[in-house]
Amino acid sequence: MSKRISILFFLVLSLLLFLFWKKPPSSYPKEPAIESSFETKGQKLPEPFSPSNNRPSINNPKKAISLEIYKCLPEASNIHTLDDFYSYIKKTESLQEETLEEELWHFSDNEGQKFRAQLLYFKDKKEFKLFKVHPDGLPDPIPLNKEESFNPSPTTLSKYIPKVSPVWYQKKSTIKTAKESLLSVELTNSKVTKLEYFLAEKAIHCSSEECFCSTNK
Amino acid sequence: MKKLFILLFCLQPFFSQAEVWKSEKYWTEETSHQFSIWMSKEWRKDFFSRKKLADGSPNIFYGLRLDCADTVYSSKIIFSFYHKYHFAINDPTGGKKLITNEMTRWDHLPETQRITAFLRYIYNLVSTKSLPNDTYPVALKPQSIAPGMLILTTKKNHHSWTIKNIFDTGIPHLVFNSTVGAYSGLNLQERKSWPNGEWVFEEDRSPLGFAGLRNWKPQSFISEPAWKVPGYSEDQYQLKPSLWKKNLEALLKVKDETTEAQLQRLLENVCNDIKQRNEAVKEASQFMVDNKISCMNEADFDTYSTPSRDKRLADEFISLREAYKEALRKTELAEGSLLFLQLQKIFPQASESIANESKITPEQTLTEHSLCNSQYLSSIDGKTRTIDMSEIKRRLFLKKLSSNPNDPEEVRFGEKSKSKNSCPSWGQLELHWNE
Repeated sequence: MSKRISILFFLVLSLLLFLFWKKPPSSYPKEPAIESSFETKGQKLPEPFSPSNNRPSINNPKKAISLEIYKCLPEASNIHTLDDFYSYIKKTESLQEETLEEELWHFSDNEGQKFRAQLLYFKDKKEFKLFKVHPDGLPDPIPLNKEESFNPSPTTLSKYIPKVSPVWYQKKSTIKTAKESLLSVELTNSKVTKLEYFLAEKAIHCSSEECFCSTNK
Repeated sequence: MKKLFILLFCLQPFFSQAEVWKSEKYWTEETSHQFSIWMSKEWRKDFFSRKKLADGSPNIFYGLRLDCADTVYSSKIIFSFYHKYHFAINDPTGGKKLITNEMTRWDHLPETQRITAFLRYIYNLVSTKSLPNDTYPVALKPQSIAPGMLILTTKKNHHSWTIKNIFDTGIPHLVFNSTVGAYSGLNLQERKSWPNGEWVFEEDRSPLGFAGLRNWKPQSFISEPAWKVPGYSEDQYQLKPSLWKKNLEALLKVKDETTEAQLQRLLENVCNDIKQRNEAVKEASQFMVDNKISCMNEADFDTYSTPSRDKRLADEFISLREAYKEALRKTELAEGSLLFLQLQKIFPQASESIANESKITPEQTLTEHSLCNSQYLSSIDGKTRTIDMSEIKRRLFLKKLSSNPNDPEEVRFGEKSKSKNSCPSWGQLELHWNE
C-alpha cells in the first residue's frame, strides 16, 4: 500500500512540475518565407528599421530631461522634472483652451474588489465605461444602460465613482496656448506623467523619465 | 491504478489554463511584411458575414458585429491568431498589464470559441481613443506605407479604416465599418480611394490629433510612447490636409490609372457609399418600428444618425465630379460613350459649382443611364419610390437628404416632411462640403 502511495505521489509531483514549468518564449521569432506573389506589383514593402540611437541616456533621468529641454528651449534651464516643466510652460505661456480627452479612476469597494472607470471625451459626446478588475489583473467590463454610458450625467458619475480616496486618478488633456503652441498633458494623481509640447519648429516629447527634443527639418 | 486516474481527473480542472491561442513568436516590424500579404489576400468585406470559407469549413468569425475601431483591431488579432503570433495591446483602462492572447479567462472553451470571446472582450475595451496608444504615425515614404496599416481621423470625426491593399496606381483599397446598431448588417464596408484629408485632420492637424496613416507598434515598443518608436514621423502634420490625399497617391504610384478606370472606380465608391447610407436609413426605421418609439434617445440618435456618412458621400461625389471635369478638359472621355452619358446625367452642368448645378437641375427621373438606384418607402402613401444616383446627388447638394434618424424614410431621402419632426436632435447634422 505504501509503495502505491509513493508511486502516486511521484506521479502527481511529476504532473505538477510538468504543468507549471513554463518555458520562456523564444525572443527571436522565426519569420516564414515571404511569398513572392505579392499582388501590388511595384509596391515596396516596409524596410526593417533600426532603433534610433540618438536618444539621451536615461541613467541619470533628471539630467537627461534637463538637457533635452535645453536643446529645444535654451532659455529654460534647470528643469529636472516634468512637473517643473509644466510649471515653466504655464509661467511663460498663456494657456488658453484646455480640452479634456480622457479621465480614468481606479478604486476599491468595501470588500476590496477593485474597479476602474473611464470617461472618454469626443467632440460631440462622452462615453462612460465601468470595469471590475478580474483576478488576472485585467479589466472586466460591467454592462451599463445607454443612458448611463452615453453622455453620463454628474449623478451617474457620482453613483459609480467614489468621492472618498484612495482613488487613483488620471486625466489627459490638450491645451492651446496664446502663442498657438500645443500641449498634451497626462496627470496621474496630480503629477505630470506625460507631456508633449509642440512649438512652431520643434517639439519636446516627455514621458516619466525622459524627454526628447525634435526639430522640423 | 483506478484511484490514480480518478485523482488526476479531479485535479485536471485546477491545472487547465488554456490561453486564447498558443503563440510561437513575437510580432516585430518584420512581421509587417507577412501581415501586408495576408491583408491583401484574406481581409475582405464579407469576413464576418460569410458563413463558410472557400474550403467549405465554417467561418468561426461569422456573426461578429464591429464598429470602426473593432475592425482595425480585429485585422491584427485574427492575423496573429492564424499565424500564431503573440498579440498585445495596452490596457485602455490605465492598467500596467498588457492585454494579450495569453489570457486564460476562457480556458473552459474550445479554441475556436476562445478567439471569438476574446474579440468580443476587446470590442468592449477599445475605441478610436485607444488606437493612438497601440500605433504610431508613419513617414510619407513609399517604404513606410503598406497594407495592414490604418488611417485614423481626429476625434472630431472619430473614425478609422484598415488598408487592405495599395494598387500600383497609388490608390488604396480600404476596408472599414461605421457605428453599428442592433440591426446593422454583418458586411464590412469598402472604398477604393484615400479619404478626404480635410475630414481626416478636421480641427486638429497637429500630432496631438493622432490623425493620418499609422502603423502598429512593434512588441518591444508596445508600452513606450509613440514618439519613441523607430519610424515615428510627423511628416503628415507638415502637409496641408487638402494636399494629403494627392500627396499619397503621387508618392505610392508606380503607374498611371487610366481615365476610364479612375471614373469607374470613383463611381463604384459613390455607389458603395449610397448603399451603405441606404442600409443605415433602413436600420433606423426598423429600430423605431420594432421598439415602437417615435423619438430616439440621445444614445440611439448617435448610433443611427448619418452626418459623417453623408459627408463622406458628398466627398466622394466631389471627387468623382473633379475627375469627370478633368476628363472632359483633357478630352479623354468619348462623348456618346455609355460612361460619358451616365456621368453627364449625374453632372449635367459641370462648369457650375456643385450646389448651383443641383439648384438648376430639374428632378431626375430613371432612364437607361441611371446608376445605383435606391428604394425607399414613403409613409405618405405607403408606396415604394426609386431614385437613381443623379437624383441622390441633386438632393444631397440641395441639403435635402436628412441625417436625422427620427425622420421618416421619405424625408431621409430628401422629400418634404408631411409634419414637423418634434423630436429632440443632437449634434451637427447640416451638411457642409469643400469643393
